[in-house]
Amino acid sequence: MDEDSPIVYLVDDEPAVARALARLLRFSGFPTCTFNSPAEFLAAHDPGKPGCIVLDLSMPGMSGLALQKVLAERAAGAPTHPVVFLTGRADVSSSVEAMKSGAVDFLTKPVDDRTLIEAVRGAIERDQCTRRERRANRESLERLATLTPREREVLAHVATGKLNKQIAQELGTTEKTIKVHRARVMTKMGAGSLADLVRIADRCGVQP
Amino acid sequence: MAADVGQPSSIPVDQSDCIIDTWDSVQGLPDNSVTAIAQDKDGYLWMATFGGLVRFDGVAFTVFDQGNVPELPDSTVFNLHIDSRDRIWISTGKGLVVRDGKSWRRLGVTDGWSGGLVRSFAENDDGSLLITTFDERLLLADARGMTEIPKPTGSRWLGIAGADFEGHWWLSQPGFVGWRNGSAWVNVFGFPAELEHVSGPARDGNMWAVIGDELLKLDRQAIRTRMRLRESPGGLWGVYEDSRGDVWISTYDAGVLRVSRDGTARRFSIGRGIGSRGVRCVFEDREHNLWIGTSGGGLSRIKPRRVRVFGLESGLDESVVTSVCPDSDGVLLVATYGRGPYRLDLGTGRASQLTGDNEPTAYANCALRDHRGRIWIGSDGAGLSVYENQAWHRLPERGFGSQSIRSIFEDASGRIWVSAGEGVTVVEDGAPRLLAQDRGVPLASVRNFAQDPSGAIWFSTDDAVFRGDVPRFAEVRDFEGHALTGVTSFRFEQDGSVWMGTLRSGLVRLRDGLCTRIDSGFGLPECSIGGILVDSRGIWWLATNRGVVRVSGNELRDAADGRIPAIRAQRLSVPDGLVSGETFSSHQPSCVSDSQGRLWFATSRGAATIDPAGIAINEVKPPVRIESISAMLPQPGQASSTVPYGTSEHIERVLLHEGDASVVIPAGTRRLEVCYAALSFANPERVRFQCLLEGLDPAWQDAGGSRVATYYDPPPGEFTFRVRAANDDGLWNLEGASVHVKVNGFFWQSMWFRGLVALLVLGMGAIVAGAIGRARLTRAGERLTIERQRTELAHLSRVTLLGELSGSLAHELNQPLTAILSNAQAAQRMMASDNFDPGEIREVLGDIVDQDKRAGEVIHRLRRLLKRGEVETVALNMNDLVSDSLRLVSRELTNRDIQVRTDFERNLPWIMGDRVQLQQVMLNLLLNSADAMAGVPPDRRVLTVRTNADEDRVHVRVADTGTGISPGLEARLFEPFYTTKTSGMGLGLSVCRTIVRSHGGEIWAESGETTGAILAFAIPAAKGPQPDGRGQPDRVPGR
Repeated sequence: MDEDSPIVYLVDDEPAVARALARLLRFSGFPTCTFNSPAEFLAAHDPGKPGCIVLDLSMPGMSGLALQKVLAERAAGAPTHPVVFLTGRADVSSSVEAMKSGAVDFLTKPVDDRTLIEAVRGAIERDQCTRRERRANRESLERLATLTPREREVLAHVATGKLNKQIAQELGTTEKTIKVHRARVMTKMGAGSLADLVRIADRCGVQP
Repeated sequence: MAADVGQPSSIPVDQSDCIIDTWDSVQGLPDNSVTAIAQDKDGYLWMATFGGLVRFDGVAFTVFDQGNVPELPDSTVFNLHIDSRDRIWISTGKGLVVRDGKSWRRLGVTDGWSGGLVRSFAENDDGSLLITTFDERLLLADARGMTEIPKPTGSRWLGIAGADFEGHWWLSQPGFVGWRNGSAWVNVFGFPAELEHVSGPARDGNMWAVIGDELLKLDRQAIRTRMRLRESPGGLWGVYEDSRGDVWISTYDAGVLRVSRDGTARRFSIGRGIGSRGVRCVFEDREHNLWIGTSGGGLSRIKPRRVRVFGLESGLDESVVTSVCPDSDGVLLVATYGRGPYRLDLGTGRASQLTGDNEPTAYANCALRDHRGRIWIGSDGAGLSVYENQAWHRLPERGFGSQSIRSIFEDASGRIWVSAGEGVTVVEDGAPRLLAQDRGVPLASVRNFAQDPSGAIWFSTDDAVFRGDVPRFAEVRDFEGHALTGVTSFRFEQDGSVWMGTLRSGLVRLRDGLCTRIDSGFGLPECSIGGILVDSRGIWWLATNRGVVRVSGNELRDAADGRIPAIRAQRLSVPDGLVSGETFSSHQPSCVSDSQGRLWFATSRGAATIDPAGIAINEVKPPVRIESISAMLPQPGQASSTVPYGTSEHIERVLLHEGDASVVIPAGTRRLEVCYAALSFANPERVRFQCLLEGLDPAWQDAGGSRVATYYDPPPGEFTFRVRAANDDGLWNLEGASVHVKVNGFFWQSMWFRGLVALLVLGMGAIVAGAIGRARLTRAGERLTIERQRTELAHLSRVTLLGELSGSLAHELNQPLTAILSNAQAAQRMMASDNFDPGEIREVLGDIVDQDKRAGEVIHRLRRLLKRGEVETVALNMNDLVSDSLRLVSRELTNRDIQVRTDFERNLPWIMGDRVQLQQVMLNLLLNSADAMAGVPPDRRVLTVRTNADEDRVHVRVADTGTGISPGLEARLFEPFYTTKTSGMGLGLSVCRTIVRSHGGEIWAESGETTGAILAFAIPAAKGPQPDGRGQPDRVPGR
């Protein structure tokens, strides 16, 4: 298995269930790693590696939701592994709570293989996506360094959604000039559209 | 019918007088060889291609081939002709077909057709045709039929047919170009047979012929004009004269040569705008667009270029132009943002940088040449500089509000007015003076300066307009006292009125204090106006960020005076030659007219110019056609309203074909689509439509450029669909097209049916109400014994109890089921792979068996608890009974974050009792304690179960760490319907008391040692030794 291939972390307090799910995933081509308690998982978990978590919602000691919260706290803002929840009973409130705190899917046990695999695939894709985005983030920061001070000023104002006219007034120049600066900023930042630019600026934490 | 839609690709050509757009198979042509083009009476363009006959409406190509027209013997079309009766003659690879309206007819030997592929068609004013074919036949088709006629010299040479205005047939073939007199041919111009030849009609009624490299015009007597071409045209294929008198000589190997009346020639070929060297046909449509069909290079349209742009290719090193101003004659001053000022030589079209000592910054905002010939450059950040005697001189900083210059303006007395940051600077005798606020000059950035005929200076800021002169300015307001905001430009009229371009509100006329606004409501296509230019014919040209808008000044005045409701405006933008539509520069001067009347605009991609005298406006009303109407219906058998739009459960049906005047729409139609077209070809993407479904729409609906109107769930009824269109230059065809639409309804959509249904519902209601009343009477008559009621109650209470546990029980069952399903599916996947390990399968099967047993046990336990029936008294061990009960609720307790502690006394005396009922008591106590702890933090939820025995009784105590019991309420807990909980009936504990008492025992509640409550019960111990095995609770292996 190569270092960066995504791993499915399976957490279920029932060894029999964990074993069966792991088998299923392994034979569908997902490397898996099983844990029989949240504590065991927290001790071994490395958020830096790509993958996703398949988590039983109700476990003695620490519920799945609580575990999800701990993971989010540990990550401190950085993206965590996407979580697919499994539960014996799907009540609305806990599924809403799980989805709110970033679960990608909420599956009811017993789960059909296709449903599970689909969900795991989706979670891994999402994980890869966020990881790619983080890389793009780093790239954006590098691009940001190539801006002139004036261009950086213009970018900061653009990012707050100001009109060229307003920016021109604040920087004591004309709309046309701002427009030209803006076009250059777009090129340098590799942004295809204004929305793109605002997103990149936001990611880099550019503020006026 | 296969139709495809595609925007043409514009091939950049040299700065010339025309714009060429090309369509090929990417845009929907079935084949890239277009061999003939003609326009029918409706206005459609028809083309012969090697992939079929094609009809073009400017946007979509509709292909007619063997696939959809069985009468076509072949999909390869070599030539076509539309005759005066609008019939289309189609020469295919396997014979001639005539399309007449909707009918297609293949001509055969019985019709006199004997030829092969058609080389040329000619039509006489009486409607007869002369046809030459590649197999060297000459055929005459008239009212009597088709006959082969003799050729001039009896040769077997390939000829080209023609007809003059007087009805004489012409023919050219090697060595011969002449006309038919009766049954004899008269040669007007004999030439060596080895020279190539081609001929075609001239617009004055005579004939054009190209022989070798000579262009001749002939009448029946003699050669009228004869011109030797400066360059050999190439291999001759056709000759065509357009409405401007230019002659287009198409060749099969060197493109097409356009020869103007003055003899100048221009060649269009591959690399010069069109896609192939082989040009098969040239055709001019009613709007005077020229179409060129090529061999393998698709279809090209040539239209006049309205806007010319000088950008990078003219020698500017920066394309962002901020300002333009006429310099000396024939030279334009161009300010670029990035490379500073340039001089553009209008003769050569080349630009050169304005260099000199002390060059100002490269970021120029404004360029102005004053009446003394000095050049002023306003920069972004480096102030104002003046260029004189090959050197730059920068004006001192203190005279300006900032060093970013926005506008420069020279008044009639030669003063230079400058806007830089806040305030206004006047430069007089080379000295800048910043006007202070106390002179009525606002502390704001000025956009634009102007001088009215009386000599007063006007200027605008974003919020106001000011008028006056040094030393005093006053704000101009309308008579109601409103400020004039967002003014970008001024235009002073003879009658004293002032027109202003504005940032957002279009044009505003101020006359006698009254403001009249002309904006989109009047049909002005753009309401953000950066500048106004007026040409010598009174046409206004407005600089906007989406091209230049052209509108007649008279119309503007009429609209402002209320004489007309709308104006007609044209927009000149990228399709007309602009590289960028942004002609709204925020600087002054940015749009100017030069001494020759040409208009100049600063754009973000070069300096653009328009010659107002040379612009033709499209005055052809676009013919409008309704092409099809289709309905989307649910599949038969589907209830119409339950099926969402667009799912595969729908079928699409084309209901109206071209030419039908009315259409009937089936009941249950969910979506109705009407496709229509306007046959305007200069800029089809600019054609605008309006639709009206009379009877449903209250007014005409703007459809923009959309060529399809969609209606969802059309109600039953009769309607008229109307559509009208405006061409690219804003000329409306108000007649448009219309079709009658009848939408059928289902019978249940009618009023009488709905009334009937309402009556039926009322009747049913009455019957049902009667039946319920009778049922109640019967039940009231039933009697149950008290004993039976009690067991029923106990059972009911157990069922309720299990209901509370259902979540955890589901989990108990789900776990093994999950393991079983996943194991089984894993096994399926393993076995699907080639090399699976039988050992692994064995393991999986083992797991399945274990898990299945486990699920079975859960069910067994449940069944026992739910069993309804007689009380069964057996010997029991209280510890086992308690453990068993704990096992049932353990998941539930886990979910509620409750820790369980047990303290069992070993070797308890056994008791006699009903296992199910005692277990019920136990479960009730456990759940009660669990409920009591809902309000305390999870880490303090502890449930302790203790068993012990005194001399004659076995005790069970369930202690919680909850909120406890209020003093005095301990006894009431066990009364029926007493509850402190929000859910439940309050029967649980009272049933427990009944059960315990029936076992001769006692149940009570007390407060805990430190916190919480204790629920306890005691059952008399049985006498004697415990019987072996019998009555023991089944042992359940722990998980």
